Amino acid sequence: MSSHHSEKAAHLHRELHSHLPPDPALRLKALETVLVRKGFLAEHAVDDWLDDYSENVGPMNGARVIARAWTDPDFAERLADDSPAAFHALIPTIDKGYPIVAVFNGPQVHNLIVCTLCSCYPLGVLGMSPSWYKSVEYRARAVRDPRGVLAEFGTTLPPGVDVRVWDSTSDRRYMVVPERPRGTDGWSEEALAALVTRNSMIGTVRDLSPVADGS
Amino acid sequence: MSPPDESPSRGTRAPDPDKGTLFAEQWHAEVIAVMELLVAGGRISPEDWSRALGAELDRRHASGAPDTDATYYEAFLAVLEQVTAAGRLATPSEIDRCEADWRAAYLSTPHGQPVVLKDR
Repeated sequence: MSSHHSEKAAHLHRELHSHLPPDPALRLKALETVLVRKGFLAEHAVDDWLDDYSENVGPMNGARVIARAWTDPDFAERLADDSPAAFHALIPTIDKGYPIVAVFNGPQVHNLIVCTLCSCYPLGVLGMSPSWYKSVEYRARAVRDPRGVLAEFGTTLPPGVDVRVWDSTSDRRYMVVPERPRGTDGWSEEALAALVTRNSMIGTVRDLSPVADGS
Repeated sequence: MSPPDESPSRGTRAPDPDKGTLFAEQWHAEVIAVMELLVAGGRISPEDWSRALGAELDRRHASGAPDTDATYYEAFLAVLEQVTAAGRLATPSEIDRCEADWRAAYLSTPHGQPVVLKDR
């Protein structure tokens, strides 16, 4: 083969390979195909799940629920008593059996969420957790040194505020309900929901303001 | 974000970053989808899943793997293979064969055309 031909062949080879998914993606594709062929997954189940996730899942769900709880004491009580039912009542796309538990911040209480075992999180409601939530460091330190972790997020608790750390599991996933910011009387639910950040629902941020935490 | 293949059914479905549901790679979203579907369908117990993922993350951390998303999702996929094998849902040899078929399909499909597996 001439050098011209061999360069052409090498180029073609690279071109072909460039379309290959990365190894783990290919491996997953193979696993998914096997599961579909054997009837353990419906053919379009993954696409449908991703569609639903893309359209209906994300921190905005928690923000809507929290804004309603701020403005409707009966709803707040329902959220405290039966969080899945409250979520489902406001956002019907959320399964009424979804294992979510809302925990409320108060003047003397601050809540922080972690999963010490792996990475349990209310993904089906609030979307994927941030990278740091899954990190070994956060999982290890949130229980051992919650105030230190909070300080690294810029959250310094006033004296007299207790920290409660909630360890999520596969069948019990928590969401923090932050306190309503001062100076928001008369605001619409939509405007209030816009103040709620993902980190505040995990508990690494305590005080909400019209300026988002940007994470 | 790169789509995993050239087929029209995937690749445009990456979750909306503005909603805070970021995935660095499309397969990260897909591996979670597969796990969630198997759990929802009762094929995997959520307790078994959490225990296995926790053990794998601990093992990788102890062996010096970096504390990153890449390590997390690699562990996630490895555990998915473990639990599907343990539950007799998919054996490693079945996955090996299917992976080789997909690889061959990608390498034999001209760019821009859908990549499909031949009927078996």
